[in-house]
Amino acid sequence: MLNLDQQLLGANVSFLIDPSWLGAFWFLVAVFLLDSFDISLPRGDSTGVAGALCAAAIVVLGPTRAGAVALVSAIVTHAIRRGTEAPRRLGMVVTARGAAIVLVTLVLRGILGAPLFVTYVVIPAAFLMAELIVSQAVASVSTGRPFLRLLKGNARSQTPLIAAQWSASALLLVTYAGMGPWSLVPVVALLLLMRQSYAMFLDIRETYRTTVEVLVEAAESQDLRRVGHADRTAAVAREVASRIGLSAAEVERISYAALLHDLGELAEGVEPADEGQQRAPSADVVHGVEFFEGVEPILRVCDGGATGSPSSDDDLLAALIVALASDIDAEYHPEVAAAHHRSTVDIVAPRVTAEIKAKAVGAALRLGYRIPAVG
Amino acid sequence: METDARTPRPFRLLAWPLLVLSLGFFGYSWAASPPTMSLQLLFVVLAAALSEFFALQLPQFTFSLAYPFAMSAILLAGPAGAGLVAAFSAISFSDLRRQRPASVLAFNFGQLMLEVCLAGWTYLLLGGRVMAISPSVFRPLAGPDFPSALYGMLACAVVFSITNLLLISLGVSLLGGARTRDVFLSSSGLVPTQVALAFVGFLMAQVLTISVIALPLFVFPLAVARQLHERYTGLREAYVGTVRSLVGALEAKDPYTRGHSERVAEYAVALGQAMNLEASELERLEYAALLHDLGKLAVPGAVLAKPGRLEPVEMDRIREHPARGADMIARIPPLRDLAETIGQHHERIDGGGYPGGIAGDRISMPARILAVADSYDAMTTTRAYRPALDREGAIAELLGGAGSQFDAQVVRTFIESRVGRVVVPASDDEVASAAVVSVQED
Repeated sequence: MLNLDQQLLGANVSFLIDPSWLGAFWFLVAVFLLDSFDISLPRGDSTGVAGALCAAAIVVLGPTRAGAVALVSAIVTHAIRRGTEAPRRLGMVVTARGAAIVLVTLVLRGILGAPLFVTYVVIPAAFLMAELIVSQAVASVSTGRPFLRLLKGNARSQTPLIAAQWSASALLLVTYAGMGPWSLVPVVALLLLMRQSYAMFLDIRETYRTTVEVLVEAAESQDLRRVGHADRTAAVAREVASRIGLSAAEVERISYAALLHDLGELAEGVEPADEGQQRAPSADVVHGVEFFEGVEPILRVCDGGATGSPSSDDDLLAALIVALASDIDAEYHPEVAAAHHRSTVDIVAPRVTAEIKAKAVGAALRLGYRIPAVG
Repeated sequence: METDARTPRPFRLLAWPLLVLSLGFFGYSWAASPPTMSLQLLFVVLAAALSEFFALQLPQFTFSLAYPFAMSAILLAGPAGAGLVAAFSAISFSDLRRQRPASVLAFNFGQLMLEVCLAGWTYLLLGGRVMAISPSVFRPLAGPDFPSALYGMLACAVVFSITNLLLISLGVSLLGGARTRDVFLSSSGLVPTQVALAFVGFLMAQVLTISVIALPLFVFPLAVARQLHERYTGLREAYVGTVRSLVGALEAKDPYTRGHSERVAEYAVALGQAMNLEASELERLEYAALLHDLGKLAVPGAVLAKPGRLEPVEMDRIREHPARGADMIARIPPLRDLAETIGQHHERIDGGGYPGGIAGDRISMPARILAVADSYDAMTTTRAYRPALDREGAIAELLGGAGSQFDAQVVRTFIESRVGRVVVPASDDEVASAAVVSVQED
């Protein structure tokens, strides 16, 4: 193995801290532990903190043993959890890790001879960035979504976690020489602490989302023609917003606004408003609820209220995306059109600029939706 | 500093002896194992004091971030070194600014000092060693120190976490009136976090002795973990309010039941308290009560507000609501366990209820409590099909149904603890005036 590393990196591999199989075994145990605690994300993939150890393994064990540890752990975890199901998911993880290790080996060749501290800082950063880039490239190919937008969105939302992993990885490299594999214990504890905080945060966000979905669906059930409209509107709105390249936080805000855009009517339990009638305001229903603070301005525009007050371009774009998504759903589901209120686009479109319209409509068209006329 | 007279006497009786005991233990630790004063230890003491500005505010107490620094100090300088960290961080500037009572400050100081000294001795007794040899010479942990040092670290972290949990539970319950067991159980989830933080502290000590320049690397992970935890806590705290607002808005379509779920939640929690349920059970009961009529949101307002006799198909739709609500709640993972309570809240003790027709002990206790709370609120508010009963009338109805419709023990507790007086029922002005008696169910 060392010979292979010598060939990959050139003759000078003396910087490797512990190029032994015993070291590799302990790394495998630690990476497997962290892989077992990865966090499932709502969109179907997962995230974790094992990348920090895979990154450090390259400098501790050498690229070949690190590669073996990273890939074996991914395959074993997948086999235990899912057997032979979801091979695409395993393919994504293996591709991302394998490609990241190859890329980092090239970086390592480039910085041979640099001070150790530089290696300790650069290699984990290079690995974690390469893993993110490759995983987003794979996701882009499999979902057809633009790579750069996907990367931008994920980089924004995951930067704190990646930075924290980078720190943990560098700390492991600093302490490994003295403590040997025992240094994995406190570093794994640190990584599990971060993982736990992130998982709890994602869990509570998911709880809010499902609670709102369930409550809205319950209210929609009064009229069976409306059931699922809010949920589908939110899905289309998320797609359009992601296509435009909005941040993950903005996509989430728009998604909630889409879920709640008919809340006023559902809460009133009244028949849908006719043309020219004011919609029962959804914004009033969420007014004062801290969690929906960011959603209220979008609903205000969708309600057609507060036309005299200025709305930010972000709110107007968000409102138009929600309106478009709602009308697109009505276009595809005639029963919704029959039960639904007047076109939301008709309410929102007069307030937005041509530039905003072009952005939202362009994204919806590129996604292949048949869309209603926008003023 | 605020006068101490307002803090409960039992709390004062705990706080001051605890302070004396901890100071004695600190003095003994200093004499038996004097700490080597080094720049590293000074850094840890200062960092711990500063970290108190970033302490995490939890519902019942503050989660101090000085703890991992105290663990660092144990490895660097032993129990007395950790005692120094406790001394400089146990009382924060915010404590002084908020003029906390003297006994609260004494308790905070005493418990932290006692815990870190105890943890420090545990580490040493189980084979751990101190890194500082002299103020400028350190011997970082190395291969031969393991695994005994690891056992010491683990025991040290566990001893700290458990004593912290016990003392905080006792202190919070004596100070605020909550039950010790409730505080203990609700805070026990923090133990794994504390153990993980202890290992972060040990890692920090190792880094301090081999490469001080790497210290900033701790900032990102700790800041990220703290920020995520803070956002989680904030969202969790706001959750009940969010659910209450949404349910309140959605049930407003029926003017007769406006505010019903919120009142039922208040009755149910008061009744649960009277029946000595644990805090976590009360929290679940509150959620179940707020969402017990979730299935009814799917019933058109026209049916709910119908003043006359319901058609069979309309009655069926109403009777479906517990099962529908249970199905819906099962889709929200953290609330999945409430499905049983919600699905059974219209069951009767004699088996004549719906949807399952189950009887006696097969109906869960939260569902039996909910049934009484729900019925009492329904009886004391005006409905489309009948006027409201007064309290005495509603209680007579409950007594009439005790043992057949309702659990007799729950009804007895409801009456004896005067739960019906804790919430003001909706007045007739708040509901429409239509009032035609029919057989429609609540």
